[in-house]
Amino acid sequence: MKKIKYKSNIFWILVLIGITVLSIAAMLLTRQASGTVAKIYLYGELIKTVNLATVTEPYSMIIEADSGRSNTVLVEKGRIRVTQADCRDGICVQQGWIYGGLMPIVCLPHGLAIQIDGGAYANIDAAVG
Amino acid sequence: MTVKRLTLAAIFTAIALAVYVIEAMIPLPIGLPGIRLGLANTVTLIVLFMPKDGIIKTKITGADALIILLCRILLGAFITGRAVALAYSLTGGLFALGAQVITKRFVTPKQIWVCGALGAVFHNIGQILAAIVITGTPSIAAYLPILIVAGVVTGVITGVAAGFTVARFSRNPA
Repeated sequence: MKKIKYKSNIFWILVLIGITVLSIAAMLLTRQASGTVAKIYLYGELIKTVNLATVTEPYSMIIEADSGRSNTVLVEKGRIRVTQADCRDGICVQQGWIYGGLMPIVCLPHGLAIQIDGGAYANIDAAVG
Repeated sequence: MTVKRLTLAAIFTAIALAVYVIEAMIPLPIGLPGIRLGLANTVTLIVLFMPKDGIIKTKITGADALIILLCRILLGAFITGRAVALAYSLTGGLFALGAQVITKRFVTPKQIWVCGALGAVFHNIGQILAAIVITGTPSIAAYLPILIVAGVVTGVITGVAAGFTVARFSRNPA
């Protein structure tokens, strides 16, 4: 087998492929599992907890951020999404529904984060909240 | 700082700014947060890899790259109206520049694409760290793998683009 020289193009291509493969592996390991309790954070502070399992009628709420800006959050049974945001890109709106798992909805301009915790945590939260 | 160096830095800042503003106007079809080509980074790469004996005689260094980057981010934030995102841009930009300055020591002048890829990856790592600190939500780190993959892809593209440009600045274009 030919020895791969440090600093050769092949060496760097292998390094970059290695980084990519590791990241894809990490993605597969943290795939979405459905959860039950949605937590809404504003600048790191927990402002609202919604138990998605007990939602019967869909409803929306407005989360006020600093300086009059806001996001509208829509809640349905088992899922949650942002339907409106008065920021420029509206990435959180594009992201659509989340059902659980590790990936939170984040609105960076407004410091908003919505995360769904799995069933295992739900009981603890119920006890606290 | 000589007048020539100052002028060069100003020209590169203007180029970076124009590229940055135009890129900010292009909507991305991918519904993924924070993924973009990072075209403005080509200017940072070009400055870092500017050939010493090329058609531009004035020495331009890593310090110039830092000044150009800071000016571009500050002016860009106000031009695009995304001043809110300043903290994210600054962290990302500085992480990228740091990574690229370090990577430059380990690559040949022809391997700008490696620098671009690692720069983009660290740009995204920096932005995620800023997001974690600002929103206080550590689980944002879940975005890291996809942003790293995106960084490798977009970084290689911008790196190759920077490589082509740098070749034009040398006395004997390859």
